[in-house]
Amino acid sequence: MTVTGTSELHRLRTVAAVAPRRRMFGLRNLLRAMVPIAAVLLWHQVTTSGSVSTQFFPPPLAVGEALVDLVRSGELTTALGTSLSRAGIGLAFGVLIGIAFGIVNGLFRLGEEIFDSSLQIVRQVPFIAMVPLFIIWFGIGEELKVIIITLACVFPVYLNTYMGVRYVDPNIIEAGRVFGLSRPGIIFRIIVPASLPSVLVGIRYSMGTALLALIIAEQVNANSGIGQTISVAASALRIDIVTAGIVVYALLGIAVDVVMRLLERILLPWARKATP
Amino acid sequence: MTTSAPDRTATPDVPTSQDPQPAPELVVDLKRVDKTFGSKPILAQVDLQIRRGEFVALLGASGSGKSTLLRILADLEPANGGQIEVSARRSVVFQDARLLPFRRVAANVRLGLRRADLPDDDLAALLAEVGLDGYQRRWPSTLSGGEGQRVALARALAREPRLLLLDEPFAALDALTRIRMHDLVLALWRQHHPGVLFITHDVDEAILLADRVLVLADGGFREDVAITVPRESRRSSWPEGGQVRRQLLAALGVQDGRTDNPDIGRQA
Repeated sequence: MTVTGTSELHRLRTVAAVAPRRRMFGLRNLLRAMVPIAAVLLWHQVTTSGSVSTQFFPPPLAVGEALVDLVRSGELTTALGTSLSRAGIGLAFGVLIGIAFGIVNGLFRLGEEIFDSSLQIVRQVPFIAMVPLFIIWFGIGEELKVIIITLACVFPVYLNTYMGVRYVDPNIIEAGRVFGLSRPGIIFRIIVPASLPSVLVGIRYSMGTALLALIIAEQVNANSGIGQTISVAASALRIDIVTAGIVVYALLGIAVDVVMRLLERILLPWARKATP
Repeated sequence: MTTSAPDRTATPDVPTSQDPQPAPELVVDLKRVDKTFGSKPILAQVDLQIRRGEFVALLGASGSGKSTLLRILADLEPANGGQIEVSARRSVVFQDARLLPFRRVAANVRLGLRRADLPDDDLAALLAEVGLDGYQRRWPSTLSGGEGQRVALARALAREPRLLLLDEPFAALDALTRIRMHDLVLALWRQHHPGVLFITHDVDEAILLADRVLVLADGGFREDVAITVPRESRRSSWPEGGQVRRQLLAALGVQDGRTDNPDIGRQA
């Protein structure tokens, strides 16, 4: 292309159209992994240089070894099973209660008038503050742990479900009415599926909170579970095992995220912006 | 002014047999219909009759109550008085497609119907008719605005309506898509022959499409113009066209006496 001498035109840059590649070791993932890898290297460097006591700050390899030992001895599997079932049961109750109140209060003014303000009051109390009271009421057994986790899980699901139901696009509800859907038809075929994305957001938050509540519940008193593994190790000053336990909690957090992404993929195929 | 609650009965769709050339049955029959919002009257003593196969355009400025009239006919809003008879077999296309985002195109077209009412073959034929051949499994989020309105048209036609209510269905579309949609609506109307009430604020659109153009202003019909010229000749050379435009625009409160330029007053 020739550009005439006095032209005001500027030639602009062009870019070849390339479909984005998603490779495990692609540049994007490498960039994202840089900071964590650097952190671990620094951690290794600091702990092996002798400038800090490994008594208080174990090197990453020692934590890895402790983790491997926990898996080998079967301790981790047992503890994880116990902890996950606690979190799972509490989460299930919390999610069910949250969805039920969210739908009822979102749909019916009467439900909202009766329950919403009370739920908002309870919501303002941090669930951790309830723990001493619950110990007196329910003892220190399994019920206590499940109740704490349930209480922690109710509100994220409730709030998001309620908002989801309340703010369904009134235009599509009207379309449902025009095309002859009955009131139950509108609820179950329009409002409920339309609020599903918000419900899933609520469940995602609840899963995070369930993990938090689990840790607190297991710190109170436990003769099994990851929390117990950590507190036993802590009293024996086994910092490597304590750190390994924290790593397990972190991995659980990541697992929650993966599970939720999968759920959204399955339940909300329509929300993906698929261009043909 | 009537204060009694409006009675809403569906007109029976039974053709009269004794008359050899019966007039098509009424699909809309309004008598002295009133509607107020608070103390503000929107419709005052409105009478309107639409027969099956008739294509009526309703013009009006924003806030003139034209959408309110349509919502009354669609049973989305109650009137405050008068007698309202509307065919039970009616459907609506709104300004936005109003598709359920979580249902595929096929399920959206079947909204409110059972699968048996619209078997797969009929559904495929209907989608082909609106120019969306093979779109059954698409999600609404992947459709363009024009495609969305085509799905909305297919959904409206799926129940073979006797009355088709169109509430500014193309106002949000670009100019080219609009022209295509005009042709599509006319083709579908000729094919299925419902009575049509087409709401628009575009005078030219109304003149192009309708047999009869109404102008709603101050709670009543200020103009009621029958257009008998064949549609094919309305686009270009049509001696009385400018006169009809001026008459309609004047009823809308726009003075357009000095020019026949079709671009002026378009957004009136």
